[in-house]
Amino acid sequence: MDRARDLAFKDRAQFSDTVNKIMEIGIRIVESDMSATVDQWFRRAILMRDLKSLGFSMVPLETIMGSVNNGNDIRSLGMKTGGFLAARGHDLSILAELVQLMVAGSVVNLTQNGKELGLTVLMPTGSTVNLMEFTCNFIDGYLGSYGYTKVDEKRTTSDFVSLKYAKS
Amino acid sequence: MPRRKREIKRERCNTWIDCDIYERVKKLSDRKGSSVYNYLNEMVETSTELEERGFSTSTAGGIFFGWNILRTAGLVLSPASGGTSEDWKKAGVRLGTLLKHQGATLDSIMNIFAMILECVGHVERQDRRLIVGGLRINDDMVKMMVEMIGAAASSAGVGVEVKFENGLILLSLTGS
Repeated sequence: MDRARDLAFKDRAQFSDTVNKIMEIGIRIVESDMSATVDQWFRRAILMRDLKSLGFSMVPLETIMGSVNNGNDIRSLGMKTGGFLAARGHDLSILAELVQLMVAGSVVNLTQNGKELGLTVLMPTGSTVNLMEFTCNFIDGYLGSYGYTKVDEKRTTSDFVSLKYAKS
Repeated sequence: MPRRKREIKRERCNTWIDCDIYERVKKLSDRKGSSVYNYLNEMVETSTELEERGFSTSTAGGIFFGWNILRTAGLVLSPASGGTSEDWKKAGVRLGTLLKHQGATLDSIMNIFAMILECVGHVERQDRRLIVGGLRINDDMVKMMVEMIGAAASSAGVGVEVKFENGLILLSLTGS
């Protein structure tokens, strides 16, 4: 609480007022997505700010779904994003949050086992092959920036993929 | 984002937390399977870290509310651009319908539009007007974004004039 008190004093506000204001906003944030933890919300807030400074913008999901993108271009975007976020102090696991911000409704699970990295990506209902291609290429570039190379890919259905990466 | 009014005296459960807030935290911590003590500390610590990193808690709150609406309307944060004018207009109609359904105020509608536009340039806000300069996207994308915002305002039942002129996006709310 000392840190909150210092901030409150710095702003010349009353300690209790500041803490209550923080709590009220914090509660509303958590209530808006009960599945996320407080820590996840923190990571999301910082990530969104960093992505905006990298040049990400708000676009309709259809723009990705409908267009056929050049795989190498998307990989480059992923690599640039990975390099930028690493430089801003994010660790590799932010990828799960990142994909969920880029593809609303997607679910990404990431497990790290020594030098191996396992990922499962579930696309939202009604997604297209293009969207899956876009996501996989982006992930490939992103992980490439952290020195990972793809060693296995299994697509069981058009909206689900299981990937394995190893540190080279 | 509703702000607490300082003049309203509320009952405090201890030296620094209001009873109504305490009850809400208690409910949330129960649902999360955490103790009130741990949950309170986690929340205050996170908010303090945000503030220390130059990210005010109220800004973060505004972003999350806006983000939830944008996400539900099918808008995503992406490094890629493109799409057709029709795609952008449809997204605008979805966004406007959601804003209308949620009974969004003119102020919160302006916040959402500002949030979309902040991604592509520097936004200057003057009451019910937004001026966006230093655009980082090409003219075609700007035009589609302008169309999307126009469609959103129209579907939300809000009078808005939005245009792309001399490298600036000029948006004025003209009432509901």
